[in-house]
Amino acid sequence: MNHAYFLPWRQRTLIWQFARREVLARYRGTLLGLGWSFLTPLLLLAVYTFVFRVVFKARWGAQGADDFEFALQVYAGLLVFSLFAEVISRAPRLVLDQPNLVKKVVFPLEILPWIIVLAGLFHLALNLLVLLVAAAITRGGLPLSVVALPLVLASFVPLLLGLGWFLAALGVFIRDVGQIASLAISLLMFLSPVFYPISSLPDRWQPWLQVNPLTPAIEQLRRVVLDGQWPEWPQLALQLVLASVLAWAGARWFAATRKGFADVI
Amino acid sequence: MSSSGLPAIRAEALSKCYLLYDRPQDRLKQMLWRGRRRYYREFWALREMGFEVPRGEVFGVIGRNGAGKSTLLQIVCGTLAPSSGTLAVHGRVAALLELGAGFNPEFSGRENVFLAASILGLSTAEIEARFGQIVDFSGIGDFIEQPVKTYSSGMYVRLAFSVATSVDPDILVVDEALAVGDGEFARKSFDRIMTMKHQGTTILFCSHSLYQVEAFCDRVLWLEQGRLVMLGAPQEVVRRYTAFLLGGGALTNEAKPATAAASPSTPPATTPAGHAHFTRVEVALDGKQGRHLLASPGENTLTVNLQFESDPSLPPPVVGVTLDYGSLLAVTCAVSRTDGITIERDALGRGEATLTYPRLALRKGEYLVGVYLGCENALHIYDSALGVATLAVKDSLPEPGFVNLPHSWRSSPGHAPTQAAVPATATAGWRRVDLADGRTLWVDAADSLGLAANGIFEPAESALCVSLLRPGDRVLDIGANLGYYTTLFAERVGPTGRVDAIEPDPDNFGLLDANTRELRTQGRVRLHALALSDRSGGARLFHSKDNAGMHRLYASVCCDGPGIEVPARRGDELALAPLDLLKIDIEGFEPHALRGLTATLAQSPRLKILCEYSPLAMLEAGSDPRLWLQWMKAQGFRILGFDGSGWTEAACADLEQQAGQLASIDIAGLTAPLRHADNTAISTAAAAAAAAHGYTRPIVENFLFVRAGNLAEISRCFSDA
Repeated sequence: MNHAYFLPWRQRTLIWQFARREVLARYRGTLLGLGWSFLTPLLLLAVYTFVFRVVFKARWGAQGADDFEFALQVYAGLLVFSLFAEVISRAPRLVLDQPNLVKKVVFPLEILPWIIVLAGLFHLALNLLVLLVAAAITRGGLPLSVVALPLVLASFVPLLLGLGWFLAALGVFIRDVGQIASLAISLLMFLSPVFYPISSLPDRWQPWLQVNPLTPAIEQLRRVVLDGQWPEWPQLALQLVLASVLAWAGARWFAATRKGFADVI
Repeated sequence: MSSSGLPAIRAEALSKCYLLYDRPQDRLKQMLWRGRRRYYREFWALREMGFEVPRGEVFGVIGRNGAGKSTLLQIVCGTLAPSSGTLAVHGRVAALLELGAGFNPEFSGRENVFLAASILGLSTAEIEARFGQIVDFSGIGDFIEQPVKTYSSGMYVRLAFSVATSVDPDILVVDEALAVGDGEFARKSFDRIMTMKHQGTTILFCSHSLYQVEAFCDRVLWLEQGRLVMLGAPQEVVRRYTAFLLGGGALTNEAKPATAAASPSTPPATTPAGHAHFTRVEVALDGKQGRHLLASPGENTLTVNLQFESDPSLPPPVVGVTLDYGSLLAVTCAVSRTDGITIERDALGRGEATLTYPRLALRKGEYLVGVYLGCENALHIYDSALGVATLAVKDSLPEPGFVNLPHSWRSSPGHAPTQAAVPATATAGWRRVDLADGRTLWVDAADSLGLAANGIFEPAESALCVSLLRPGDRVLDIGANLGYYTTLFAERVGPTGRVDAIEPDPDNFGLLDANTRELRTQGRVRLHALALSDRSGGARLFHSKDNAGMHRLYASVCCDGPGIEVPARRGDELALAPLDLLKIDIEGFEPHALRGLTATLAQSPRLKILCEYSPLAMLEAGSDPRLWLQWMKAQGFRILGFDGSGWTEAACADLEQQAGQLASIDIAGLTAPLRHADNTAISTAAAAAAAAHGYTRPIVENFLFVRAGNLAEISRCFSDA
C-alpha cells in the first residue's frame, strides 16, 4: 500500500496528466489565463494591507515595520494558507465527484490527493516567485537561508496528502464533511498566524496555536525567506515526522474504506 | 508480457454480494462496527463461481438479465471487488463496457486520449507512439484538438473504442455487441475485434445473442441467479440454455446450479420488454449448414434461417439479410418488410424466418452474410450480426464483376431496324389469354398454339411435365415459342428452381419476353435468344408461312422464305448441367441440338427429355431418325410414349423398325411438288407418303426419354399424378 500511495512512480504519467489538466482547467477560456494566479493574491494582499495597516493601524510584531514589511509578512502567510485551503476544500468531494472513475474504469483513486497537491504547489510556486521578487526589490537582496525553502515545503506536503486521503474517503460516506471543511478553513484563516506573528500573542496562548499545523509551516517559511534565519531544525524534523504519521494514517484510512466507495456513489 | 503458463483469468469460489445501504454513512458505520451490527440488506450477484480461462480463449458468458453477467465482467475488469473468493487476472485488460466513461468533456480529444491511455497503463512515450494510429482509426480527424463535449456521440464512442483497443490488451472484455458505432465504423470495429481474436487475445464475451455466442466463442459459461449452471462447448451449452428458456426458465435436474437457489425464482422473462434478439442463425448452402461456405456462380442455393425472440407486446419485427463484399460494400440486401413479408410469431414472441437465394448468382470473391433484426419500421435495430458466415465463390471465368444479373443477348448483322430490339411492351395484335390452369399469357394475333380457343396446349404432355417436376429442379426449354412450357415449368420448380428457355425467333421471343418478365426478375427464368445446334456460329431461321410454331433452322418445303440470320451455339457452352428436365420441340432439328448437348446430357443423371418426334422433318433437316434413336439409346435413354392413358415403353416398341421404313423415302422428290401448298396440304401429303412406305405411326408425336435408372421413379410420378 505505502509504495502506491507515497511513491506513485508507476502512475507518474497519469498524475502529470491530471495535474496539468487541473491547472489548465482553472484558467481555460479566461482572458488572463495564468495571470490570475498572480493577480488574485496580489489584489488580496493589497486589500489586507489596506484594512490592517490603514484602517486597523495594526503593526507587525514588536518592531515597527513599514507598510511593505507588513505586506510581505501577510503574503508569506497567505501562501501557505491558500495551499492548505485549496487542498482541504477540494478533498471532501475529490472521490465523490468522479463516479465514472470509481465505478466504470479501473482507476488508481489514491493518486487524486497527489493531483490537487501538485496543482496547489504549482500555484504556490508562482506566488513564491512574487514574494521572492518583492522581497528582493524592497530589501535589496535575498538571504542565503532561502535555499532551505524546499525543505520547509517538503515537511508540509505529507500533511496535505494525509488530510487529502482522509477527507476524500470520509466525504464519500458523510456528505457533511464538505461543509465542515469550509467552515474550518474560514476559522483557520484567523486562528493561524497569517495576519499576525505568533510572537504577538500572549505567552499562554502560543502553545495552543502551535497545535495548528499551519503555524509551524508559516513561521518556518517566514524565517527562511524574510528573517534570513535557518529553520529551527529540530522543529522541522518533528514536523516532518508528525506529517508523515498523519499521511500514513490518512492513507490507511483511504485504503481501508475505498472498497466501500462503489457501494454508495 | 506475462508468463505463458498462467491462465488469463482464474476464478476460485468467487462471490459478490451487493450490500444495499439506505444511507451512505451506514456503509461507514458498517466498516467501523466490523460486522457486529448490520446496516444493510444483501443481494448475492455471484456465488461460489469457479472457472479458468486459458490464454487466447474466447470465453462466452450467457444467462438471463440479473443472472450476474455484468457483475462478473466488472470484477474481471477490476471495477468491482469480489466479496469473497479470488479472481486472478494475468495481463492488461481492456473493456468495451462503458466506452468513454473516463473522458472529460472539457478537454480535447488529444488530452482525453492521453488520459484514457494512461488509465489503461500506457506511458507517455507509448501513447505518443500510438497516437497517430488511434486518431486515424477513430476517423476523428482535425476534431482531435476540439473539446470532446463538441463531439457527436458517434465520435465519442469511436475515439473511446480506438483508445481502448489500441493498448494491445491481453484480455478484452466485450459486453453484448461485437461492434460499436454505426455504418462503416461498426464494420471496422468488428474487424478489429476479429483481428484481436486471431492474434490470440483472450476475449470475455457476454451477450444475449446466442447464435453470436455460439459462433464466436470457444467455451461458454451459463449463469443463473449468480451461480454457474454449465460450462462447456458452445453448441451444448446454448442448446441446454435454449431448452431452459423454452421451458419457462425452470432448471431441470440435468441443469441445476450446484446448490439450490435461496432466493425466489424470477419470472420467465426471456426477452426484456421492448426488445428482441436472435436466438439462432443458420446459413446453409444447398442444405449444408456451415460457417465457411464454398459456392460456384449460379449453382447453389443459399438459405439463411433466422430464429428470434421478441417482446410479444411489440409489433412483429423486421428481419434483413445482407451480403457484403469485403468489409464495406453491401452487394445485396433482403428485408422482409420491403418484400411485403410479415414475420409470424407465437404468443411468446418467438418466430422464425428463412430467406432463400436460389441459384445464387454471385461471382468470384468472398462474401459475408450479415443479419439484422429491426423494429416494424426497420429503423431501430434490436439485434444484428455481421459475418455470420463467409461465402467464398469460386469462379472459373476471368471476367470481372460481383454478380450475374439475369440477362439475354440478341445479335444480328447490319442495323436492320426490324430485328434490332426485343419489343419491350405489348405489340399490336397481342392479347392476353387466360389458360385453364390459371396462367395468363400474351399471344399474338395468329395464336398458333390455339391457346385462346382451347385454354390448354398438349394436355397429356403438360400433365406429364407437372408430374415430373419438383421444386428446385432445373429445366431447359428448347424451342420455347411464346413460353407456354417455360412458364408452366417455372411455376412448378418454384423460386429455388430455374428454367432456361431457348428461342431464336424475334417475334416469338418478344412474346416469351413479355410472358416471363416477372419470373425473370425473380431469377426463376433465363432467356436465350439463340438457336441450339451441333456447332456454334450463325444459323438461318426460315419462317413458316402461317405457323409461328413451325419456323425451322433449315430450308423446308413449309418454310421456304429467305430466312433471317440468328446466332447458334452448342448447348454445352451454356454449361447448364445438371438438368432435371429438357423439353425440345424444334421441328426436326432435335438431333442437331441434342448432339450439341452431349456433355450436358452425360452430366445430368436425373434428366428426362420430352421430345417432339417428327421423322419426316428430321429427314428434311438432314438427320436419319433411326440412327438418332440409336444414338439416344447409346446416351443411356429409354423411350416412353403416350398410349392414350399413360406413358409406357411398350408404346414405342416398334419405333426403330418404323423409322427404318422411311430410309428409302425420297424427301426431295416428295417435297418439290408441295412447295406452294399450305401447311395442311403439306401435312396430308407427307402422311400419305410415309404411309406408302409402310410407316404406320403418327408423323408428329411426343416421346419421353428417361434413363434406365430413373424408370421406377418416373412410374411413381405417374401413379401420383
